Amino acid sequence: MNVDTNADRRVGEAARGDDSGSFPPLYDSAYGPTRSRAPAQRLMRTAGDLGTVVGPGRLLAGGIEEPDCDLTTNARVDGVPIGERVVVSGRVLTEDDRPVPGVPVEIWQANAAGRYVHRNDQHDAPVDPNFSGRGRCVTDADGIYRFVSIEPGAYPVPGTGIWRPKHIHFSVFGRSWASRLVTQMYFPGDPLLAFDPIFLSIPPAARERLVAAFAPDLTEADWALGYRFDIVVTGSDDGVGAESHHG
Amino acid sequence: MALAPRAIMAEPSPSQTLGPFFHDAIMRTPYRAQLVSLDSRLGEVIRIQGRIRREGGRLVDDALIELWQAGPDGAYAGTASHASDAAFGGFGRAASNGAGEFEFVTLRPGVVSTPDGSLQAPHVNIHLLGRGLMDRIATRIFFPESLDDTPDPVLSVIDPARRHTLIAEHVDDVPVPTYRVDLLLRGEGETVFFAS
Repeated sequence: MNVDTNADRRVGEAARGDDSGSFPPLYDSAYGPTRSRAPAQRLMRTAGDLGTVVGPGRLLAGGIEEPDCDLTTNARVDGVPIGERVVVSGRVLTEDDRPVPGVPVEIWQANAAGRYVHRNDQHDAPVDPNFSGRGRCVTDADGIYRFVSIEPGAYPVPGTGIWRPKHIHFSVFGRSWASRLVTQMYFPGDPLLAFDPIFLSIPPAARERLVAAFAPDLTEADWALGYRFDIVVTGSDDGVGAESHHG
Repeated sequence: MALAPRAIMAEPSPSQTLGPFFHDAIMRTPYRAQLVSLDSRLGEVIRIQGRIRREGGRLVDDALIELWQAGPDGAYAGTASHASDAAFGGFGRAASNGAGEFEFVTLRPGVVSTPDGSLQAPHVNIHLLGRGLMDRIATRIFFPESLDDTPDPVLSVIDPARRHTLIAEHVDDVPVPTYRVDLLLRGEGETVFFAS
């Protein structure tokens, strides 16, 4: 597809250790903000305790009284949000290919014009008064989540000449603390993917995992196009939560 | 406890940066920086005040700080040893403000036993996320007074010259026990972060 011009700048560790070919390095000279924020010192390897400490996913899911998974209705004021309706659904899985039930999935995104509801987004595109761009739900017994939303527009990063591809931000919890994942879902065939430093910071073989698949089986006639996006969190369930309290 | 090698069957989803527009989506009830009320009787209430900076000492005003800890009895919510009717969850979220500062109100965590039987000094686990961070980065903050009682196995393998970056400073003369932590992402005096 593309010449991988990223190879020479992709130096240094990923946050999860440099034996994973899946994660972007913390330092990437093509993504400027990393230059002052990526730790310079080698990350500590501990006895593995951080991988088995149970995470807060189940606890947090219990605090979500009502799922908030329809972004086409959850912020309506005086009408319907503008744009193409999409269904976005998939499973949260462990590396053992097992579902992760009962954990929260949080999303946020720009509107169809590429404008976020956020005080710091002053991009010259209209705000949609009927769209907040945020949602959250809990995975079901099969690890499945499902959102209805509007396809987001591309977004120019101010002063850089860079346009972010269309994307939906995802925040996910697995079973362990270490399995915490914040990522972005992209749309198939987006020409901006070939130019986006954030997407290109991912090792080439792993990039496609963040591109959703158009899904005819999730598409609903006369109503919404469907996209499937499975999310694989690191770690297995083995040993998670095995620590006991002291006295 | 030896774990059998596991066959990886699904490749992990790569991380991407949190970006700068997360606040309205992420900072929602019940995910807050105040885990308990100041007059909570579930344990000893403490405050953890922090600042997050980057290379050159420049402040970071768009970070997300997530905290996760055991309760006063050393049990994490969601584990078998955690009392099912316990009211303390142990998870908090804070966003750094315009001065790069944040504050949690929580309970002093107890000593935690690991599966191999060793004891860990009271600590809180931290994840940092934000613009310019390609994945969450992990660290752990300890409380100075408790380290004499419980030497910590994780701290003990850290370069002695850098250990202090993980030990909060006790703030004197305030009514609620308060600790201060200065997180530096990059540069001289950089905080110790863990691969995880």
